[in-house]
Amino acid sequence: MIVPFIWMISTSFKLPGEVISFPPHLIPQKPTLEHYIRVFTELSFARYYFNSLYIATIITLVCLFTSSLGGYVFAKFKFWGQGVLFIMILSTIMMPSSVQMVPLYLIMKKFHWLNTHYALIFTSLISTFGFFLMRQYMYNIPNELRESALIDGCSEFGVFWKIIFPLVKPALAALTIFVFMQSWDMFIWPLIVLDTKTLYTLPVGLATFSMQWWTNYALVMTGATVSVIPVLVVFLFMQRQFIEGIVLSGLKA
Amino acid sequence: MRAKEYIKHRKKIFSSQAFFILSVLIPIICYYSVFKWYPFIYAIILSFYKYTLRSKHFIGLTNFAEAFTEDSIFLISLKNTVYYVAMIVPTEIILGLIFALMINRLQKRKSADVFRTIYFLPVITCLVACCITWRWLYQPLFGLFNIILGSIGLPRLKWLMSTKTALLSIAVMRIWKDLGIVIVLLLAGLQGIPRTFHESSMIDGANRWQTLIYITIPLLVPTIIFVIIIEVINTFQAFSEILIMTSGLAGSATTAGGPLNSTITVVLHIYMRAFNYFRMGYASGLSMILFIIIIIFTIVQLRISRIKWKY
Repeated sequence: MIVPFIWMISTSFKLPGEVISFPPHLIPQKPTLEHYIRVFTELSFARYYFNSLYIATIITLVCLFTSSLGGYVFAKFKFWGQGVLFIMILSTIMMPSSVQMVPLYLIMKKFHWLNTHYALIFTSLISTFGFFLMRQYMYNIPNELRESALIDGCSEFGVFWKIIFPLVKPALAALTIFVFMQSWDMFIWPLIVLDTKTLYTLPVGLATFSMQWWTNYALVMTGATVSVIPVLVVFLFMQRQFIEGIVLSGLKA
Repeated sequence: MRAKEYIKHRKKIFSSQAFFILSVLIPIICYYSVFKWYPFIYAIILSFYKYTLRSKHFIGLTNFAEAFTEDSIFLISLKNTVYYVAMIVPTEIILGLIFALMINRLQKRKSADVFRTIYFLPVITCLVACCITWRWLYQPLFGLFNIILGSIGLPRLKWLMSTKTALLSIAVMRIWKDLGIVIVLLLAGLQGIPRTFHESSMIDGANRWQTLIYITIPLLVPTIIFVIIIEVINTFQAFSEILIMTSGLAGSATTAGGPLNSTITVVLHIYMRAFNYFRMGYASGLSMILFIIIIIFTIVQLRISRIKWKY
């Protein structure tokens, strides 16, 4: 199961000559860091990392906020048109991304957002799935909390911010992981939208880099390793939350 | 006096409530309108147009006719996609079930954690990195797989280079990557089965195999159907892995789609028509066909799952 990863890491430390040596060695006999240095200096991986990181962070924070607000309003209030609106939001889950690819591209063109990060961020600002998750979770929060806070003179926003928000932390944690991973992994959309290399996110940068340098296998494997390590490390420390997040997402979807 | 104050206070709460609701809903509605609903409608309209860089005019159903009659690559891509899904989903379910059952027996022991890391690691790694690594493993001359095959004495395969094995190779990678999620979902389903069923069957004298076939699996069927729906919808839209694993050198996407188009999938075809050939209207038409296929499949699946499985 993890053999591909082991091989990937092992190859990344090999000198080019040793990569294609026969018989292959698991532990390189002359390990080298030259690929790692090269990947970060010459090949602007640091730039890709930075792009992916800040885009994913923005998207995650906004999504947390909008999902919980939206879920709260749908869970705890009754208003005119609630059912219709809910079904319309539900319907967006059924729209495959391939259908939205082309029109979104044309819309981004009209906004002059092509080849910018705006196109990446704005198309992922609200997570429909996150909205459902939050709504589901908030159903279980007793109404009395809200009512007593209101009687005590709290504003509606205050109720949300001070009382409801802290209570949904577990669901928020799961949602954070889910949304962050999703936006980190985005490949098709950034590929379509971005043209300038300095704007690339990590998946796109990694893909074009590997195509360009394919014959230098060790270098390519280094790129792959470097992309994988952060998520790996976070995962090893936060296994439980990770999997709970995925399960929650799978069950609630 | 008291009543008046009370009514005023209620009105105040009501209007601030209305304000709150509106200030949350209006941005949400605006966002969905611009980025979700309008694009969808736009896609439907686009599919009836010829929309290229030079011209845009209404052509009715010509796009759809062309897709099924003249565009041989589209039909090939449909066939490939169906093969792809057929290779992946049953394998994932069977393997996932085996592993989930095995891991379920471990309950809360430490070894369950270790296994969980192992099977979940591929899920959380970047798809691009996985594809690149597997492409390297599949390399005919220097890749690990062929080296192992060669050293045992088995013939070396051409993996991604051969029309016969290319799609299969990508499918294997996809199974490796997605198995973790399937296992996790099936495990959750398994753990949702009340223990009373197992206990009563043991009292009745059933052995483990019988319990498995007659109790566990039937009770797990709703979960299995759910997993099937999710996996089919996801795999049907496979794009990234095909593109990365079959693209040519120097970043050109011209060889994407495998040798002789043997690995091209529907979404990849849509992507190439839209962004390499800039035939937006036609690509929209294709995506509509894909959408209808997915909807039909989902409805069929949901109908099947409505059959009562209560005991």
